[in-house]
Amino acid sequence: MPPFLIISISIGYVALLFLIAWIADKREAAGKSIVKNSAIYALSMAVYCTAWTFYGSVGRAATTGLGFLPIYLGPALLAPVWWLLLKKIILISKSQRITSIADFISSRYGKSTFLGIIATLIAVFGIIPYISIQLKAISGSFDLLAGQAKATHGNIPFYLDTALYITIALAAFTILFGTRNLDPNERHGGLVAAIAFESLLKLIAFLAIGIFVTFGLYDGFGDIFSKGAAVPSIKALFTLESAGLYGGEWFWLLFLSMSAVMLLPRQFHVAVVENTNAAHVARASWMFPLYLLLINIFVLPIAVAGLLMFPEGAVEPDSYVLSIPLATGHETLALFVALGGFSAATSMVIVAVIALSIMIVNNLVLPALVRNQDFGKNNDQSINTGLLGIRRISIILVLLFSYAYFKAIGEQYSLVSVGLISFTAIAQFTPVVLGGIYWKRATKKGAIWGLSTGFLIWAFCLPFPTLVEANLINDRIMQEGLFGWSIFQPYALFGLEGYSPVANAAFWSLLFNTFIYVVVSLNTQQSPLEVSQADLFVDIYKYRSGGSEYEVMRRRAKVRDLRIVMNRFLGIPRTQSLFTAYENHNRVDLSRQPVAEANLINYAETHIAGAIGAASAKIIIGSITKEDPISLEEMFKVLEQTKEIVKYSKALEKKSSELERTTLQLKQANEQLKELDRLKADFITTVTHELRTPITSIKALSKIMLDNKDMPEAQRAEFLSIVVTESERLTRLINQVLDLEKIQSESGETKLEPLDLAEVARQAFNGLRQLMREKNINPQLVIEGAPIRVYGHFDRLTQVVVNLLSNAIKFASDEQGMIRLHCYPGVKSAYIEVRDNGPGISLRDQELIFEKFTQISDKEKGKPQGSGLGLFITHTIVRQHQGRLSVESAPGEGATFKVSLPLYAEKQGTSIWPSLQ
Amino acid sequence: MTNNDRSLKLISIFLLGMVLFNFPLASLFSRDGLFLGLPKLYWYFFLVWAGLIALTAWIARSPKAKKT
Repeated sequence: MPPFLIISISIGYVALLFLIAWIADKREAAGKSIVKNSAIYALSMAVYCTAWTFYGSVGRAATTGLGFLPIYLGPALLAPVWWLLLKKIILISKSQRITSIADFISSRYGKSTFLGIIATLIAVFGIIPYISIQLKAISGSFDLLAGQAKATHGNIPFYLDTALYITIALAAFTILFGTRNLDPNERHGGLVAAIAFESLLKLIAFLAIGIFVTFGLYDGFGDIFSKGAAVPSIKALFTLESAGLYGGEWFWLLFLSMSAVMLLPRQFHVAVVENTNAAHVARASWMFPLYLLLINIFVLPIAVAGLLMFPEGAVEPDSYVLSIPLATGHETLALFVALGGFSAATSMVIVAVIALSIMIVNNLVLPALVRNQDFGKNNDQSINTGLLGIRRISIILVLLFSYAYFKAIGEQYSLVSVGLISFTAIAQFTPVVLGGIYWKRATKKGAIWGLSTGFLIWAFCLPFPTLVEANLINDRIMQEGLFGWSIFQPYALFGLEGYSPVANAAFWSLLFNTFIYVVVSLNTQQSPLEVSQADLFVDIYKYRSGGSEYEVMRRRAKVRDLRIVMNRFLGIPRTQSLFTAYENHNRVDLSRQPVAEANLINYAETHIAGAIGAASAKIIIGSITKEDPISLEEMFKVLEQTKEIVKYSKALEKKSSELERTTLQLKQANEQLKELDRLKADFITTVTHELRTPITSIKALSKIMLDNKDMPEAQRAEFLSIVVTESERLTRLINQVLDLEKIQSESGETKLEPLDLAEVARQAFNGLRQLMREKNINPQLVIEGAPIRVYGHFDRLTQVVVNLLSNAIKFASDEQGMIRLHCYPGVKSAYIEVRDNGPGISLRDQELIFEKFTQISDKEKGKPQGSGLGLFITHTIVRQHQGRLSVESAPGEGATFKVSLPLYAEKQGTSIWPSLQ
Repeated sequence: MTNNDRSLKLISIFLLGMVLFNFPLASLFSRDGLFLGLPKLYWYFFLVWAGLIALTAWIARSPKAKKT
C-alpha cells in the first residue's frame, strides 16, 4: 500500500476528528451539549484502552495466555466502587477547581507547591515510556501497511525516520486540540466528543478483526481453540500456571491497573476534570467494564490464530492484529484496523499530553513564574497568551522526550512491558490520594517523603534497567547490584527472587511509599491550611450539604486588585461575567465595595485555580491579600489540641480555689487560735499575778512570826487572821478560775431547760439573807409576775444572782446598808435588778468591770476582797443565756446591775436558741 | 434503597470480584482441556465478569439516573 494513501487517510481521519470536536463545541455553546451524558462519559473513559490494548494485548496473550487480562479485570473490579471513590474525587475537584492529578495531590496537602512539583515529575517521567509505546505502535503499523516491516528506527538517521514525523504531527494535532483556548475549568467538550468517537471506532475496529479472524479465517471459537489445543506451546496458554502466572504476580497486575484507571493523568482528566455531572459515574460503573469486556473477547482467539499462522516467530506478536489481515490479502480491512489502532494511540497521546502540559504549566512553570510578582499592578497585558505558549512548548517537549525514549529503548521491549513501567510509576499516587480523601491526619511531609521514596525505588527497579540494556549504563549493576551491593539488584531488590520485575518494583516501592507516608504523617504536624484542606477533602459531603463557601482563612483584598488579577488570568469578558454572576448570586454591588469579603476572595481563587492550578492561584491571591495572623481553623485546631489541657487546667483551677478557700479558713482558724493563745497567756499572767499577791502576803507574815518567837500574842493573832483571810482569798480565786474554766469549756453543751426565774432569785437571795443581816444590810426582795418563765440552767443562773448579790454586799454602805433585788417580766424579756447604796462606779470604770481581773479600788476601803473574776463569770453566763448584763451607776449614788433574759415562749420551743455560744 | 445500602452492596461486589478474580479461586479453573470448545479459564473469567457487570448495573441504577 503506498505511503501516500496511508498518510492521506490518516489526515482525513484527523480532519474528521476536528469536525466532531467543532460540532460538539458549537452544540455546547448553543446549550445543546452532546457530551453531557453518561454514555459519552463512559466512552471517553475508554481512553484507557490504548495501542497497548489494541496491539499489545494480543502480543501478551501470545506469550502468557490470559496474562493480558488483569490489566482490564482490575478496572472492572474497581468500577462498582467508583460510585463512592470516583464520585468523591469528582466532588472535591469540582469544589476546588482541580485540573490534574498533581493539582489534586498538591491541593489536598495544603496547596503545596513542592508536592505539586514532585507529583508532576512522577507523572511526566512515568508517562513518557507510555507515550513512547504509542509512537512505536503508530510507526510500526505505518511500516507494516507500507510494506517496510523490517525497518528498525533505532539505526536510521532521525530525519529519515517516519516515527519523528508522526511525533511532530501528533504534537501539532495535540496543540490544535488542547490549546485552542485557555478554559478556566480545563473542560474541553469538543475533545471529549472526539475521544468518545475514537473509543467507539477502536472498539468497532477490534471487534471487526476479531470477527474476521474467528468466523472468517476459522470456523468460530471452537475451531480456533481446538486447533490451538493441538499445539502444546499454544495449549499451555489456556492455563495460568503453565503460562507462568502465579498469585502474587496476578495480584500486582490487578492492583496496578486499578490504580492506573483512576490516577493516570489522562484517566483523571477524562473521569474527573471533564466530568460534567457526578451522577454519570453510576452508569459508567457498568458501561465501562462492559466496554472492556467487549474489547477483550477476541484477544485470545486472535493470539492463537496468529501463533498458528506464524509459528516460527517470524512476526512480532504485537503486530498480529495487522499482520493477519495483511497476510491473508485483506488490505482494506487492515487499513480499517490500523485506523482503529491509530485512534487508540492518538486518543491516549492527545489526552495524556494535554493532562501533562496542564500539570507542567500549573505546577512547575507558574509557581516559579508568579512568585515574587506583584499582580496588584494594573497591567493590561494578559497572561493568557503567555500561558498558552508555555503549554504548547511543554506539549512539544513531552512528545520529543517520548520519541527519544522510543528511539533509545522502546523498540527492544514489548508494548505491555513498557506500559507496565508507567503503571507502576502512577501507582505511587495511590497512598497519598486514598489517604488524602479518607485520612485527615495525613500530612504534607508524609506525602512528600512517601511519594519521593516510592518514586526513587520505582526509578531504580524499572526504567533504570532499561537504560542498562540500551547500553547507556554498564550492565554490571544488574548482576552485582548498586555499588556492588548484591541486595540492590533492580530486578531482585533486597534479595526478593522469583518475581517479575514489575511485581518486584510494585511491591517494594508501594511498601516503602505507604509505610513512610503513614509514619511521617503520624510524626509531623499540619499547617492551618493543611488542616482545612484535609477537612474539606475528607468531609466533602458535609461542606456540599452545608452549601456555604468554606472559609479557609481570614483574608482581605481590594475588589479592584481581584478584578485586575482575574482579568489577566481569565480574560476580561470572563472576569466580567464571573463578577456579574457573583453579584447576582449574592445580591451585592461590588462597585460599591472597596474591600472584598472572604467569599469573594475564595470565589476568585477557585476560578483562577481552574486556569492555573491551586498552588499558583494561592501564590497569586496571596500576593494581593493580607492574611490575618490567626485563622479560624487554626484556632479550632489549637482548641482541639488543647481541649485536654484546658480541661485539666480547669480542674486544677477548681482544686486551687478550693485550696485557697481551705487556706483562708485555716488562716482564720489559726488567727483565732493565736488570739485564744494570747488571751490564755494574758489570763495566766494575770492569774499568777493575782495568786502571787496573797501568797507573798502569807509568806511574809508567816516568816515574821517564825523569826519573832516572842511576838506579842495579839499581834500574832492579827497576823494569823490575815493569813487566814489571804488563804481564803486564794481559795476563792482558785475556785473561780476553775469555775470560769468549767463554764467556758461547757459553753456548747450546757443543757438548758425552762425554769422560773423568780424561784432562782428567791433561792439565791434567801441563801445570802443571813450574811446581809450580819453586815447590817437591809435586804429587800421584790418579785413581780411570778412565775417568770425563762430558758436556762438553774445553777448557773443562781450563780449569776449570787455573784451580783455578793458584789453588792461588798460595796454596800457600811452604815444603813441596803440591797434590793427586783425581779420582774417585761414584754419579751425577764429582768433581775440588784441595787446597792455603795459608793457607785465611775463611768470610766463601768466600761471595765466586766473584763477579767478588774478590781475597783476604793481609796477609803483599800483593795477590795475578790478575785476580779466574779463579774466576768457573771457576764459570761448571761451571754450564754442570750441575755444582757448592764450597769447603771453614778459615783456616790450606789450601783444597779441589771440582767435581762429572753422570756420563754411555749410554742416556739427550743428553736429560738437552737444552740448557745 | 438508601445510599448507605447501595454503598455496602457496591463494596460487596468489589470484594466478591477480588476473591473470584484472584488466586486461589481463579486457579481452580486453570485446567487443561476445553469446555464447549473454549478453554475453561476463558469461560470462567468472562462469565464471572459479565455477571459482575450485570450485578453492578442492577445496583447502581438510581431513581435519579432513571429519570435522566
